[in-house]
This record gives sequence, C-alpha cells and structure tokens, in this order.
Amino acid sequence: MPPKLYHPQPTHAIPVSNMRVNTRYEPTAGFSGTSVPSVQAANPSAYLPNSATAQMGFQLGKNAVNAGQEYVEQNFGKWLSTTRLHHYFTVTNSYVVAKLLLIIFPWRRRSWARKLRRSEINGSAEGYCPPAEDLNSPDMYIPLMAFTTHILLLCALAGLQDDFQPELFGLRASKACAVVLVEFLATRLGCYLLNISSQSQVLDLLAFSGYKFVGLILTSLSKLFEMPWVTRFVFLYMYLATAFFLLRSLKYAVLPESTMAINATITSHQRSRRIYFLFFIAASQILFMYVLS
Amino acid sequence: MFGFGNILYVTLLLLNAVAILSEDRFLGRIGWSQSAALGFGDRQDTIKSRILHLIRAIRTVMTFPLIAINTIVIVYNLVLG
Repeated sequence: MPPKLYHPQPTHAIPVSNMRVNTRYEPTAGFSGTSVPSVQAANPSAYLPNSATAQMGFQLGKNAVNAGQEYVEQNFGKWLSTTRLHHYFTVTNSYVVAKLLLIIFPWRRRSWARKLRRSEINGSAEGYCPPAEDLNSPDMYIPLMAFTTHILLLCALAGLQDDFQPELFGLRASKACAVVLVEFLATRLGCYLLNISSQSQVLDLLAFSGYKFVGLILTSLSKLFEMPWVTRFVFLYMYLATAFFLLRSLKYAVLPESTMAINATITSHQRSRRIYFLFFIAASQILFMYVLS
Repeated sequence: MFGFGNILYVTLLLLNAVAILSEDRFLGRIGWSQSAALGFGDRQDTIKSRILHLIRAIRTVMTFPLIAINTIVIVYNLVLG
C-alpha cells in the first residue's frame, strides 16, 4: 500500500471561470452552502473593468507619456536646441564677406580671441557673442552654403566635361558627408582622450570642419583655367590658409586657459600635448581636402 | 569609394574590434587592465586610463546592439551583397 500523500485541502470554493459561473455552474455536494453565493457575488466585480482602477491607470499612462516627452526634449535639447542653432545662423552680410576674406587670407589678422558676452546687470560672462557681432565666432551659415556650393560646382564642372550623371550628386554629397563625419569623430575622440571640455563644443567643431569647403570651391574654380600647376598652387595655398585659420581659431577651444582663466589646472605636459593635437588637426586638413577635391 | 555606406561599415568593424578585446586574455597581459591603470598614483585623466574607460564603456553599451547589427548586416550581405 503506497504511503498516504498529504495535500493541502481547499477550504473554500475554487474560483471558476466567468462563463462557467453564468451558464453551467452547479454547486456540488461537497461545498458548504455559504461559500457558493460569495463566489457568485465576487465574480462580476473581479472580471468587469473597475471604473476607479481604469481612471488611475489612465492617469498613470498619461503621466508616463508626458515624462517621456519631457525626457526626449531635454536630452535632444542638450545636443540640438533651436536657440543654440539660432546662435550659429545670426549672420550679417558684412560678417559673411569679412569671414570669407579671413578664410582666404588669414595671415594678417592679430586678435583671434572670441568676444565674451557680458550680462548687463553685473558684467559676468554669459557665453560668446553671436557671429554677427564677432568675426572670430564660428557660424554654420558659411559651412552649409559652401558645402552645397561645393557639390553643385563639382557636378557643374563634370557637366562641362560631358560626363555628368544624376548619381554624381548623391556620390559627391555622401563623400563630403563621410569626410565631415570622420573628421568630426576624430576630433571628438581626441578631445575625449585629452580631457578637453568646453561649452558648446560639438557644434563649434562641426562648424569649423565645414570651413575647408571654401578653399575647395576656389580649387575647383581654378580647374577652369585648364592649367594643372595653377590648380596645384591654389590647392596648396588654400590648404595652408585653412590650416592656419583652424590653428588660430580652434585655439580657444583646445586651450581654454588662454582665453579664460578658469582652467588653471592644466599642467605644462598636458598643454604641450594639446598643442600637438591642434597641429594634428590643422595638418590633417590636407588629407581631407585631397580626398574631397 | 569613400562614401557614406563604407563609413558605416568601417564604424561597425571598428566597434567590433574594440568590443572583442578581452580584459583577461589580452589587455591584462600587456598591462592595460584596470588594476594596472590605477596602479600609478590614482590619476584618472591619463590618456591610457581614458582609452581603457572608453573600451570598457563600448563593451558594456554596445554588446547586445552589436549582436543585432552584425546579424542584420551578415544577412543583408548574404542575400543581397
């Protein structure tokens, strides 16, 4: 005879499914008479949607959606807020002309420091001046326009030589985008490794990596002369000008203590490393410009 | 061609290469483990410690996304490449 198994004995009615209660439920002889009505009374309230619970769930869902939206706005706003983008597009005609001349001929300029904007109340610095007031400030207008002009001009030159295809637009644009992306990522990695951090640096780097398209446009235009040494000379000159321009302009971002006396903790060893990094950025422009031209 | 798609491939391969570096078998042997980096003077802002931190961060964050992206790219290249 097998040993007796001790199971826990159910002391109340086991809840059965809703359908069964409504259609074919018959109290068996083993159940007590009091438990059967309680099951029948409890079932509708347990299975039908409770209005208070539904309200609470609705409120909770709404709160979650709102919190998610705020989170997305905050985190994207950190990278791409419209006010910060507005800062890069506040340009004037005189600024654009002066900046273009500065990129083409950067050798004679003395002061490359960016102007700090002072608040009118207590004179404390609250960020940099927009490009319209300060020639040394980076903008996004010239890089963007130079980028599109560069692509259109290359396609127009291909059209002059009768080998234009519509795919050329896509190929040139993807190549230019890739070069800008690679340069931006390399600079960003260098900034991370050298522990360089300054405010609004991401967009500044993106803007500075676009200024080489101005030189590339002039190089492409010089191809119209059909003299190879003219093209080579213009390319070399524009490379030197762009490298010098970047060297002087990026100094405030890479060596922050030269413009603001906040960062006094940089050792001379770090400083020399950062100067090498700055030279590396400027020197690598010849690679990117050669790939793009 | 120096295009946009190639940049994506290169980025994926480089991320794979960084994520595959093993802490015990490779980085520890050439003295690049976390304990060796903390050995000299607890200075966290050396280039070496920042590289190590970057490698560890990439491995932590990108492991499961890399599995998915690699699978997608492999299937794409098998079917259409």
